[in-house]
Amino acid sequence: MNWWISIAFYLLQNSLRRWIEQPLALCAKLTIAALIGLLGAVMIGGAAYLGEELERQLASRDALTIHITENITQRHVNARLAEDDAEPAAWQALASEILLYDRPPRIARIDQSGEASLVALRDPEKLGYPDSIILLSHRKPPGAPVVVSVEDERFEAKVMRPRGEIEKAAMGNQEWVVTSTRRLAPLLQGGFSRHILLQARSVEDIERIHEITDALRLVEERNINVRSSLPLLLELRRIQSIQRYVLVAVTIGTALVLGLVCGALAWMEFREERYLLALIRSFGVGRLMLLWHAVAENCLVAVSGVVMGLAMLAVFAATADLSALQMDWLDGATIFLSRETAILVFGALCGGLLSCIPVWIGLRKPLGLVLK
Amino acid sequence: MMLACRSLTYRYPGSDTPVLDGLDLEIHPGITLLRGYSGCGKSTLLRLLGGLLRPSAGSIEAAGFPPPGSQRFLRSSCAIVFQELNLLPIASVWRNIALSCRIAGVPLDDGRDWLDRLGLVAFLHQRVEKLSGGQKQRVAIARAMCKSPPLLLLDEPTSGLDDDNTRIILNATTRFADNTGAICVIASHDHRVDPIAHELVDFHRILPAAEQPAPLD
Repeated sequence: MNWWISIAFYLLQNSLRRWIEQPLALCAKLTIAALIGLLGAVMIGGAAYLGEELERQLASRDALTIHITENITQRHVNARLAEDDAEPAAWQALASEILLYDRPPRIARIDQSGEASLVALRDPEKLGYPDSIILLSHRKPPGAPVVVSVEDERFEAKVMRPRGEIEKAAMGNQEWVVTSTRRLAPLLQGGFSRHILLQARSVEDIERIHEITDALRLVEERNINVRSSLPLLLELRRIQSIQRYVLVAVTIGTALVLGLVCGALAWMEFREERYLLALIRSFGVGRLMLLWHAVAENCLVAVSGVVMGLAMLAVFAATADLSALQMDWLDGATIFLSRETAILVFGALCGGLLSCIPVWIGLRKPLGLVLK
Repeated sequence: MMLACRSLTYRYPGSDTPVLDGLDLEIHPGITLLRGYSGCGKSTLLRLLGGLLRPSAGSIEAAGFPPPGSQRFLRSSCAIVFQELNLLPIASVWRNIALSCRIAGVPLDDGRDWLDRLGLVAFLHQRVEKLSGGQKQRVAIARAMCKSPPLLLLDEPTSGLDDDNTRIILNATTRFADNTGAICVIASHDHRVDPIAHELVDFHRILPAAEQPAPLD
């Protein structure tokens, strides 16, 4: 057996003896670590819940949907209708879904049921619609024939349901008479509005889209407007950064409090043990070996305490009627398995490490002064 | 192998008066006895020789040794027996000996031999807390000698011991010094130690009269 294994075993045995002989010091360390773990987990859980809830709320309100509108005057109609797919492709790169359509300043009338918006799609077949005149409606039975009149002309159209989520979002409660840009070109000649509906992947993409449209407005003098939830999303990001600060603060707080409390107790224990440790050092055992033992012991106690606190919280979450206490967010599984909890344990580890600083200072004292 | 103190001075932290002041001394293989009244600096000199304290001024030349105080020096070149509390508590006699042998890298049989010579084989598996003062001191001596260190430092090894225990310890020390050719330095004011010393360093003569305690009437 290596000498350092023998020493490690001996030090472990000595720690166990100390814990048995002075259980209060161990209990104090564990209790404080458990309380800090408990408090930290509640704070982290609360902050995480707040952030998640905000995100959920925003997602349910289509917060990542952007609506770009551009008014195209008669002077630019031909150029804009003749342009290739480069610009739509550029928008597509910033979105998970995109719907690009043109609307002339005309209203379509549908026999006996009122008005519908007139919409031109560049390539309807790509979106799963036939290259004919169709009425997208939530209300009318699919496949039913309807007569659509635009100004003085009348057309026959077939009713269809909107296929994609993005079309549904764009339509809202309206009905759309949809056809291809090619068919609707005569009505677009007097000018039209181009609409681009994008489902962005992230807040960063929305910011980029805003930057691009600002540039288009300034450089190409295009009459372009953007509607998005960017201010709200930036606020959400601010809240998320606060969440991160809370996380960092809880981690540092955990480390500091554990470091101070466990450090004070470790120092008291070290003062009692210093003769023994000096004696071991006088055999030729290095300071690092003894420090390593102190680190392992203090980290073990600090982490065990925090895990005990988390376990208490999980048991509470599993047994208490959380709904009655209005604490539904206190989900045991989330508390135990989240990244934040791992960071809390990391904080406890740092606390364990910090608590060894007094021991390290004590170990630097010349052996001859201890072994008097 | 030789130890030489050159103008060795040591002052404890927070104290103005040096315990040792400009001490010049050469220590050769064999048993050297440091004798003097309590507080004259015998134990301090032992700690300085073992590298457990650093001189305030002057130096210790340790020819043929690793640097005093280094891990290598303490593991295999030097063994120190303190006045009390020499043994690891909550461990058996054998564990204390085995640990010392492992750290020094010597065979465990050497440890057993020394326990045998010091009459401790019967207590092999006994916890050290259960031993008498004399037995503890003998275990500490065995723990030190089993390493076969070239430098053995004993601080009051017979203090408070009966004649039987003292005789066993002194015999073992003589045998160790004779067999290994090591430097053995004993700090003691016990006159029973005098006969085994090859050299005697009398602190009464080294220290100026002003620093010596007044004689009793």
